[in-house]
Amino acid sequence: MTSSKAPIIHAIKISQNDNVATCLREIDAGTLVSVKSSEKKLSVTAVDLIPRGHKIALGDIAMGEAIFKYGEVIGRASSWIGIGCHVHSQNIVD
Amino acid sequence: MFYGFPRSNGSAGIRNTVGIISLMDNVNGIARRIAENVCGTELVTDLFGRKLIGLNHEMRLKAIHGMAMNPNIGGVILVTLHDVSAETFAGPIAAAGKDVETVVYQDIGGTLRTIERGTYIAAKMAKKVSGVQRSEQPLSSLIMGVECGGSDFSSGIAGNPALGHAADLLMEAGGSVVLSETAEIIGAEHRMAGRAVNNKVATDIINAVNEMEELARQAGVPDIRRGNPSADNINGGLTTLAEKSLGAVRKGGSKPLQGVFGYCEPINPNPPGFYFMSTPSPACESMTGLAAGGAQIIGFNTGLGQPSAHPFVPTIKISGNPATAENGPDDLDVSVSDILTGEISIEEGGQRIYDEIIAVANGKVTFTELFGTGQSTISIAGASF
Repeated sequence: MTSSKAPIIHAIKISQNDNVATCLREIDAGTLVSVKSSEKKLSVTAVDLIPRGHKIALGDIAMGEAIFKYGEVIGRASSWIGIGCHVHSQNIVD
Repeated sequence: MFYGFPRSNGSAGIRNTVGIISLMDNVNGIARRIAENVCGTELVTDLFGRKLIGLNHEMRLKAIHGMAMNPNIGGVILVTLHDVSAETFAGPIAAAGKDVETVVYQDIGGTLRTIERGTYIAAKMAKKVSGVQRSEQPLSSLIMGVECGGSDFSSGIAGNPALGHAADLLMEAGGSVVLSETAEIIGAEHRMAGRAVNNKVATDIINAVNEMEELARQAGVPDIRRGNPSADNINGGLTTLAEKSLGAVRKGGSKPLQGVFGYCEPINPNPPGFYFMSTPSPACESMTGLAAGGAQIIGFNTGLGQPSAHPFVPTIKISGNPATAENGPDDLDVSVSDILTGEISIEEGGQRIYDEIIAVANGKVTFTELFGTGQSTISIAGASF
């Protein structure tokens, strides 16, 4: 499946203006997360444990700010979210 | 452009099949035997079809006429019990310029004689339609339906975005794309409305969702939004209903929404581009709507695998899940699982799917065509959402 040449990626950012990426495997807190995106390679250090399929913040997000995935608003931050934090029901409202 | 079969109404097929359509449940077995006897035919059976009333009666008329008129069908054999039902459908199909023959049990008399007579009629038609050759056709005559089923964590982040990129490439080349399954856009309907080219289209998409919710309420389901995203979805990382729905909508690409069609209504892509058809979400029912609308090809993304295909519409199975691609279903046509292993981008995956779409339009076969496992299901109003 994975060729030996395949770069290790931990998360994928789907659209250019997204402020979250989706993790492809469970990420331990403190891991340097390599994020695949269409423009350039990003990396961010995970602050929390993040399960597979869950979202990680790619930058600081202020309370009330929009969460972008697919280039669209999927919800708003219900508290301040720091870069590398797990972004889910505990800090997003619809 | 692609190499397709020109049709008298100006459209073009990517296949040149004889469609065997059963008009009643009681002749399904006879129709199946006829289809088995003759190469180059595909079968559509009917589970209900007798004494339907109201909305369901109208839906069935549109569905059967529409499937008979699908550009992939070179000629139609209608198998039925009696003359009345044969004439109800044969007249309008012939008037619309499609070759049609009827096989009527009560006229021929007996199951074996009907199979024998039907086999000969189908063989003659298959021989006749095989004389039509592929020729250059503009991509503006190609309509692709997009579907997903058997979804998992890979669907929203790999398979659907890659299929969406392929959809964008097809539309940029002049083709059209139709998204369906109304229940799946709930939560994203206002964002879809925001993509509409005018107020009427924006209202139509909101109304499609409202009508689906009203049908559910009448059937005793007060709020189909409640419990969505499900506990499983939330455990899987989906936080909001908008997020879940946007992941599904993504497979239709990112172009402006040009129009909204009802279930089984003819799709007239004027101008070509992105359209929506309001259908129930079970895949066979949804794809039957797309087939009746005139879509010639379907891109179907699956996470875990899903066997659905329409017998008249080549259905390309796509997966972005590495485990599925490696060990999974034998009916998978395109893998884009290397998006999740970091080897290719979503755009490169989309290009791979687009290349397969054009190849299949030109005649490359899909696994489900080879296996002959397509299934057509005309929906029952209010029974599913």
